[in-house]
Amino acid sequence: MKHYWKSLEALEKNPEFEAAMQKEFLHTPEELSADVEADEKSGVSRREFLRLMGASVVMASAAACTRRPVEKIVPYLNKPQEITIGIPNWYASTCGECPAACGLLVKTREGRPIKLEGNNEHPLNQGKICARGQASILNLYDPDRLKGPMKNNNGSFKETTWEEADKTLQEVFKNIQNKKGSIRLLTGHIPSPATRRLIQEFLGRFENAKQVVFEPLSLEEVSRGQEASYGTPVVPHYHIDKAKILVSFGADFLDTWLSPVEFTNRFAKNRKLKNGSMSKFVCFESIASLTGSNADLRIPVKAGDELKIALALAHELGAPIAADTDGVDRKMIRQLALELKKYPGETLVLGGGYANKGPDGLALQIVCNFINSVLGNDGSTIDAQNSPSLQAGGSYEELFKLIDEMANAQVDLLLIYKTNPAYILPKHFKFEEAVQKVPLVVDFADREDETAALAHWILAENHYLESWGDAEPLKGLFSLFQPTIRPLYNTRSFQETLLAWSPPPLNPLPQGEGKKRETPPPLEGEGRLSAGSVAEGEGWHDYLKKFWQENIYARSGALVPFELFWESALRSGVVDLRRGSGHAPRPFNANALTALKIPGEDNALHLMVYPTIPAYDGRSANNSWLKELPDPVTKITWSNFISVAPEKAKELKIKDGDVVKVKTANAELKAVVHLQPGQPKEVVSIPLGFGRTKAGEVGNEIGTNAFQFISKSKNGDLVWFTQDVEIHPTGEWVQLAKTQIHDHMHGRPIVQETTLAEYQKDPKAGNENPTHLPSMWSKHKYEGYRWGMAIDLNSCTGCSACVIACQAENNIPVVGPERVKRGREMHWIRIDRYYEGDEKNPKVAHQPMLCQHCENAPCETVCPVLATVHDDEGLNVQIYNRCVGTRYCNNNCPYKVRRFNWFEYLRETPAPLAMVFNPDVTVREKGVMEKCTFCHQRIQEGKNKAKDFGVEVKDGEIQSACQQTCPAEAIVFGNLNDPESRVSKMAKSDRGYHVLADLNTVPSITYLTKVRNEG
Amino acid sequence: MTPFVKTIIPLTLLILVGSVVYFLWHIGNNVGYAPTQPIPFSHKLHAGNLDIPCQYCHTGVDKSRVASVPSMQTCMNCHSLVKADSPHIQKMKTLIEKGDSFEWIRVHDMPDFVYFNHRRHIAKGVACEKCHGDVKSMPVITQKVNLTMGYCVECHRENKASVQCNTCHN
Repeated sequence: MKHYWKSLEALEKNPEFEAAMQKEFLHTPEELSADVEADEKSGVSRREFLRLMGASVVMASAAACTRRPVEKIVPYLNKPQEITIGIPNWYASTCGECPAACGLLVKTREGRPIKLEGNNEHPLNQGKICARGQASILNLYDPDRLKGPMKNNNGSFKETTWEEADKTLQEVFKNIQNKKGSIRLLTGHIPSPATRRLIQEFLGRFENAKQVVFEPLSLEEVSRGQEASYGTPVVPHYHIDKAKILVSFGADFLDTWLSPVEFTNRFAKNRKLKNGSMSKFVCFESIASLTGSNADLRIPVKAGDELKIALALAHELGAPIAADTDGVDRKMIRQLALELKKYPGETLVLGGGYANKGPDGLALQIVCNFINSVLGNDGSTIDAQNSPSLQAGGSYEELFKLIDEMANAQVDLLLIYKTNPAYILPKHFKFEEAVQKVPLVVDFADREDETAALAHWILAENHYLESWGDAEPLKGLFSLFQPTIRPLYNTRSFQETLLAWSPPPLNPLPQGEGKKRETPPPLEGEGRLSAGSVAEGEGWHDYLKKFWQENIYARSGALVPFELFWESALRSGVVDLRRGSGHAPRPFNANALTALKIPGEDNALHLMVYPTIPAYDGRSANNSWLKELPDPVTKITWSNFISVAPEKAKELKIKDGDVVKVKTANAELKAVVHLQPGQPKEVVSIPLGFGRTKAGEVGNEIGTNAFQFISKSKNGDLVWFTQDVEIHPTGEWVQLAKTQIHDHMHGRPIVQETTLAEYQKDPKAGNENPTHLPSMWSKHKYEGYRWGMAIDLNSCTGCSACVIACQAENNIPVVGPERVKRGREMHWIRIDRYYEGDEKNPKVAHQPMLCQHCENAPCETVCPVLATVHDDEGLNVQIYNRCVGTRYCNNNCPYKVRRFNWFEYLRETPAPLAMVFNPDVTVREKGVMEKCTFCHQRIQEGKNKAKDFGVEVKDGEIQSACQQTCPAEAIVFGNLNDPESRVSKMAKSDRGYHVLADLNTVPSITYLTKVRNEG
Repeated sequence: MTPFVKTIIPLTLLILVGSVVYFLWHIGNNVGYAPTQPIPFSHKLHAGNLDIPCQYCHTGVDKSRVASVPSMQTCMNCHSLVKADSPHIQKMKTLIEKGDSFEWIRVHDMPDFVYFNHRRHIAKGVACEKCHGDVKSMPVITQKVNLTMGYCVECHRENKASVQCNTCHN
């Protein structure tokens, strides 16, 4: 059996850690009483608890004489026809969390959205969404959102009315038109074609108006690389599912790169071992990312060395350029080249990520393009002509131009929408100083964030679930946003505001300059809407409809009238007008390659900043679900950190948790050290998205703002990694809120794995499932259904979408960093991450762990009040109203999946936040144990539907929340009593095993062994 | 101590304890609960004398877990003409004009940790009267059945319905 370890302490057999692992309890009573003091400090005072208790004692005694509290029923005044109280309505929409624009289904109950799921009909994400998408519903109910438009009165914001804002700003526009002043609109990437058109029209009414797009995680280098190699700037659509061998030079496509849900889904499709084979994934990367952790072959390299290795590979494939191969494993490269050549047109080489954001980013793209062209991938696994991706955009160059213009007082009015440059741009870019020279700044923001704080007006923006809109993630693939709730506050969408202002047209439409704009290319054969085509009293909804009628409907060739087309587009959420996906290979411009400069040798310590799944670029920093979601690789919650290779840490004499000063030429900030196995020795890295100062109550002042370390290269690029970083210990130490230490598994065969070669010889390879011992218990009889689950470890990438889906579905509370440190996080499903082998480059396995619904459940036998029992469909059920909180079950559970409510976590939920609760799931109280129910409410609903028709539940009709969202389709739930169901077939698979089978708990969850394609 | 006293003391104690237990047993069991509602709506008149079917107003009962109380507009379907000048209807009209609705007091109230589904019971043909009593004869809605767990389980047993804990608690 392989020796797995979850943390460095365990690997090193640290005596303190070993001792802690032998202890039955993580904390002694003394430590716990210290905890209470800590609680008092952190605001949950003991007096508060006593007061609450006092109140409830009085209430209880009063109730004994009279009756329980009175509940009121307040009926609708006029019930909307489509609403039946107690029955959810689903609306198709689009996810507005990141520019990938996945299709959504929004579950609403009595008119309020409570859960997001992927839209099955959307070809991009095929019914799946990521953790951030799942959590974006919480942003709708964020108490820190603006309640209405705000006006800056000498430094402090006062609420104002839309009438006042409109009146004042319309005057401003008139003045600017008259004196031919300049307007700049700074936006994030806008995936909406209708909005882009609206912006174009709006700005076209001014002599000197321009849109500048700044998306911090844009892929500018990809489109520039395409331009240099093939002549047109484009971000191609990558067909990962068609690639038998996948090579990534830093492109973290399973984390946040371009379209992570789609890529995870397509990547996993090739890992299902259909016909006994699977894809091979080789990853060269300079940090320890989730993508790298899923590679069959991961090669950690120095920051910037990706280019060197790519060049060596290109050279091997016949590139007319010399390659500097110092320090490159040439044998490995040669072998890789041979393998790649075996599958012409069926491989894919991706370059990107952090390595791309440096001075050599463009060069790496060109080399990757060359390799793809040589291998015949262009036009086959890479689609750059039929329906390329429109999910990324933006220009750093334009942004720097804008800052210069502002600093020279050449901008009369700055409008900002969907971007937060004051947080993202480092201080030495002098964005703030530049903005202060603009006479009028208007920000369309949903909160008084870092940028909005610099504005004169903040025009409170809707949440995307409150707005109309559209998106075009791939050329020719259109989807719609539709409002699922009336705006909670006095807010208005950006588009509505632009239409409300509508100054009279000056020029017919922008010409010349308009074409140069950094907006994605206009639609082919687009009909033009004449300026101001929206009549009096019509708004954004009418504009959108007209836009669709004149463009999408006209192109679709639909035979039905437009109203019917529109209705059906709304119902399905998506209109697919893409034409076939293959195209002829484009001629590669060989000059681009020969013009490349080969990077020199460089052994300095590099600092890399990178986005993670939970934090991304910090836009949802006030989302407590995402704050408590463990980082998929480090398992750290509630903060960021600086990852250091253990070897380097020894050299620097620092240890895990040390607070260090990180100093580069441009910035000096404190960060907490995390020792990361697999991190290259020459690289330290910090996740982005933390250190916000004006995100809100939850997200302020947490961690380090790693964006501060970005710098500008000589040729005007943003450089995401810094050479020559200095690290100085400060002597301080803090405990990071990690979730991995508590769940140690004592080196037993929890994750089982094999290699593809072994598997092909014997499908049972690596499966150490011991035969079950005879049981002392009589067997349960399951006459109807028997619910079970199968989890394919070969598909699971550890993306953690399931964790947030479960949180949203089952009203799971957030407990905060202090309690996570004590092992009191409440997630019903967690992803355990195991390392195996050399700490310099360990192999990684991700394993979703949730209640195993054991046949011989150890928890059931120790519950003194029968609060946890076995039901006749194989579920291990937890009855909250019976539970008295002895926690015996928790102590007796070998999987450590039971979670205890130490406090009244949800009772004090502030007003709008409580609206996100699922009314079909009990909100648990203090002193009650809870755990995964296999989404019992969904089982009930599925059975109810089947009963109405007098039939059995069909396979796949009931999906647990984690299964529903799993982008990798690693989780399958169903009826084990049905031999034809997917789950029972998987449970009988040769790769199937039970975790801790030797304990004879007989779990209902079967795991399938992980298979690595190492050959 | 006389034998009489010897018997009477344990007997008194027994009665005392018994009555305390009996009292505690019935806490929260709301049989007879008939609160005063915002207007004296009479089920006897509507469902009894006028024979309006339950589902005319409680439209959710065969579709959803909740039977649902009718919207104000449903009342006005008839009452915009019928007895339009009654002070109670007037009260309702004023509320509607203000954009408010009545705050009815819930009579049949399950604890929050109980999942009850009307639709399932209607589909099985359980009569409304089984749990709500003879509503057709009630001028004021009164709880007739104790609706404790025992009551539910007994009926489930008789009808061979599921008595698994998670049928009602999840």
